[in-house]
Amino acid sequence: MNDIQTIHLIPSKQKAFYIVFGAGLVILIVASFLWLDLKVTSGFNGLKKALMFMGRLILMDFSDWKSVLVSAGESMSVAILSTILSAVAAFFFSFAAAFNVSPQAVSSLVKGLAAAIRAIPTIIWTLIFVAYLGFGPFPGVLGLFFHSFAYLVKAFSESIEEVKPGCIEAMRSTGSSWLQIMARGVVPTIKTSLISWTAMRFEINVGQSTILGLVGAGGVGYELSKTMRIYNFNQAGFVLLVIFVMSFGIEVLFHKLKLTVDKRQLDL
Amino acid sequence: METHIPLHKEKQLYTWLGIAFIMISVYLTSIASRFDPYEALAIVPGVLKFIFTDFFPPAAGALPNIGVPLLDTVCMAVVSTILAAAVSLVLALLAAAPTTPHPAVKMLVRGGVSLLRNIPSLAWTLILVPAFGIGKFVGLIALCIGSVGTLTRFFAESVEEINLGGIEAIRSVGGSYWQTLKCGVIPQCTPSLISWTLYNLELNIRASTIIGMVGGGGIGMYIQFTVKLFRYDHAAMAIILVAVTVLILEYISKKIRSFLL
Repeated sequence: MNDIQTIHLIPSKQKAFYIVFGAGLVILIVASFLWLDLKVTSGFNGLKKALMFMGRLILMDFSDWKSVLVSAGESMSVAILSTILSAVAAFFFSFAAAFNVSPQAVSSLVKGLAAAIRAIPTIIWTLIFVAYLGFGPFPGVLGLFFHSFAYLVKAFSESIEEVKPGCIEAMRSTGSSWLQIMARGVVPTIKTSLISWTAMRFEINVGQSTILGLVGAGGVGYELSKTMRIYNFNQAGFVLLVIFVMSFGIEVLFHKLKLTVDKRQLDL
Repeated sequence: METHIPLHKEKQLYTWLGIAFIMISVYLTSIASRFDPYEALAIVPGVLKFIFTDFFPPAAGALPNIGVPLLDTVCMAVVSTILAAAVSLVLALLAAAPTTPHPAVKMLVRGGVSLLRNIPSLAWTLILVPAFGIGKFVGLIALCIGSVGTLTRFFAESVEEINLGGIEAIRSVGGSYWQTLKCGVIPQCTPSLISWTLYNLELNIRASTIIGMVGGGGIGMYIQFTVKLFRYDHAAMAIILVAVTVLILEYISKKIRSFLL
């Protein structure tokens, strides 16, 4: 008898999924490519030019360093301020959004609203505020605040929902009021995850704050669009360096502080 | 004599210090970003009026003009994600500790991708427009650059999280480097790799919307264009369709991801 058994490294159910998934992927990419109708030959010419421009970016021009650094500080301020404001606001709203501590209707309403705000990118919010308020960092703060707020409401409320029902039950049975349960039971449990989510959002906000200037909201992004408008690649190179240092610095710092969460858990 | 500070008092001190620190940061950064809390509250009615009278109702007449750029945006996100995933897989194997040929290669790749990752794709678009011209091509390239930066990092982390026992076992029976990769490394981290790719697709849908605003083609360009012409009702229609697209794609992506992990 043939007794040889093969043990598959990948379970057969998963294998079937991979085959369907892979085939879907191929169809998707071919269809997308055909739809986009890209001119590959002009792409090659562009590549040559791009390499030439990159060479000019590397030869940085530091002459304008003062105003670039001031703008970088402005971007950083926008990021810090919008993170703090949105974290404080989201902290209060997240209790209304968590289904285990809030009525069903209120929870659905707040969550739906947050999802709607989140689905519109930060830059578009900023564009709307710039259209109303005019140029400057102020609309940038508002744009970032809006999106961060909705994001943190979702993150915080999910943390609250992870609190064990036993903890809330135990406090309720001793006759604690809603406020007492929140202040002494829920908040101490979720404190570290709130801080981690805020830190993670701060990382995103620093990245976002550097580009808000491209739609007229001030900061270091405005410097970039200013230099690129006159094709001054040497100065643009320095601005890019500053942007890189800002966002890389935060990334390294938070990695060292271990203030990281699995980003896949939540969308931007 | 020993002074004794009770534990909870010490904790309270830290809490107050923290609050003071936050208050000072808010004060300083408000000055630097010219943010005025009173003004922020005062403009609320104005902003609401602006949104509800100028943006609403969204113009149904804009729909025929939106379809093509919206599909462009989605296609740019899909193509750039898949291309970037293929490139990132190779780079990640070079950058992950268990599979790297040499520690120096690892450092080099990690340094390189952190440069790609930490310069936003919007900035890449802006500096590539002079070379490639305004349009979908430059948007696609900028998205690819950013995605390679993000995906290589997460792929490398996934590869580093695998159980090394299996790798050890394959090596001990004489498996070559390629055999180890094929039978040990890749099967273990495939679900994680797909999950990160889908996550990146979600990011790219948003990113490809906004790069249109600086010349990357697609729906972002349409939004920027209509806002500049003060046709806010047309912009509103586009923004709502972007939001709907984002939500639908996120929903699909989440379903697949929860199946995988």
